[in-house]
Amino acid sequence: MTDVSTIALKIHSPLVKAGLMSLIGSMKDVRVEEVTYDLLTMKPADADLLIIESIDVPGLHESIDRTDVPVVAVMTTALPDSMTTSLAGKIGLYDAADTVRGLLTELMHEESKTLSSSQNDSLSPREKDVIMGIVKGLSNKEIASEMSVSVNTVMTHRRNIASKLQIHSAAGLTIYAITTGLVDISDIKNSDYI
Amino acid sequence: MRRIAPFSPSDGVIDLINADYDILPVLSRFSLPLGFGSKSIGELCASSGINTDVFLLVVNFLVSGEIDHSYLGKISPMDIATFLHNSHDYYLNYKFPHIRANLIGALDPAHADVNPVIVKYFDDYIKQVETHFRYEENMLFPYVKALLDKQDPGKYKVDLFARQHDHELENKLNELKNIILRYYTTRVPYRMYDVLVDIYNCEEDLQKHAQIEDHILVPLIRDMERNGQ
Repeated sequence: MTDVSTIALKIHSPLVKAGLMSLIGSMKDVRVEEVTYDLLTMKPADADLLIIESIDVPGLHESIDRTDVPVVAVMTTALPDSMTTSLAGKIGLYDAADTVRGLLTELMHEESKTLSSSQNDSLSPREKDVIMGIVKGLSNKEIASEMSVSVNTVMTHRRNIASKLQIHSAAGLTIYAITTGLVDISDIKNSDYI
Repeated sequence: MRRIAPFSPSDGVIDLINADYDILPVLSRFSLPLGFGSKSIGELCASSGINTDVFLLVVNFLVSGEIDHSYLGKISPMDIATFLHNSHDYYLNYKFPHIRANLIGALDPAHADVNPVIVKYFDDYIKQVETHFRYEENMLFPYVKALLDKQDPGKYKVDLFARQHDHELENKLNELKNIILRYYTTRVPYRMYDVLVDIYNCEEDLQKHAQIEDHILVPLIRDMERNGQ
């Protein structure tokens, strides 16, 4: 694991983008990566955090709920709570720079804390539950609800799983789950990856 | 006698290949016919209608990682674009189908439940690569041609391409490799080991393809943008 964290940015507004880049630029051991491709078809590789604008959340809603990268939205538009529960955090346009830096640092920190505790290769029972949920096609929100934990906890589990297994995609986890007998093929007939 | 780069027109083709045989697929993408005899690089290029400067720029870069900037001034970005276009054809119409066939042949029937999932994973990867290549064919290469013909290239700028170039595709292939290495068991491993070697080679090859785009083509286009319009 590298010491430098990567924040991926997909921001349309030049002002907001400039502001964020300057703010992140002042943070230690963090680099910024601008995303220009369509987030529905590709996800940023190796990013520790993804920042988007709230206007994109409805379109990406489903996909945010299935990724293992924490997503933070700059709230340039108002959104119903139901759409923001999958977000790891929110940035207000009028938030002070220190507030935003604090939020991003906290999310990065959670990142590194969990990664250092995942050095042993065996998966915990909870992590296995999360894998089964992902492989069955459940969203992060649905998995959280089934396990009675927060979405952020599910995200943490996903990061640990990715770190232990070196598998990031749901498709890859599906292969892993079947070969190791974690799930039976009959449980996941409806999966997109079969 | 083994030589390391940089190679020049008077060096033998066979010497080049013996120095780094990974260069063989690249020779095929320049459509250089086999049966080299004792030809020098310059002789082979001339007899095949290939620009020797373009060939040496690409080959020396791949073999040594160094770009001879004196060559950059002498060549046209269209030649590089043509080489890259041939590479796309090589991957999509030959290399990927080849790996796919080997992969399918290497899967252990005992894992009939997961084998189709693995094939689908590889097929999805190919589709993503196709999309990436198509972008270059439809946006980047015509842009190069428009700049060269001094026609209006529209609003496109090479920086748009440079930022689009990400590593998501590499990660997907890397993940497949990892999955096979770590979790796939087979009672007949010979073929699967071959597939893995193929995937490792393909990965490296695609990385070099991307490097030629980033370090040779993009700077050439930027120069054209600066000097032209």
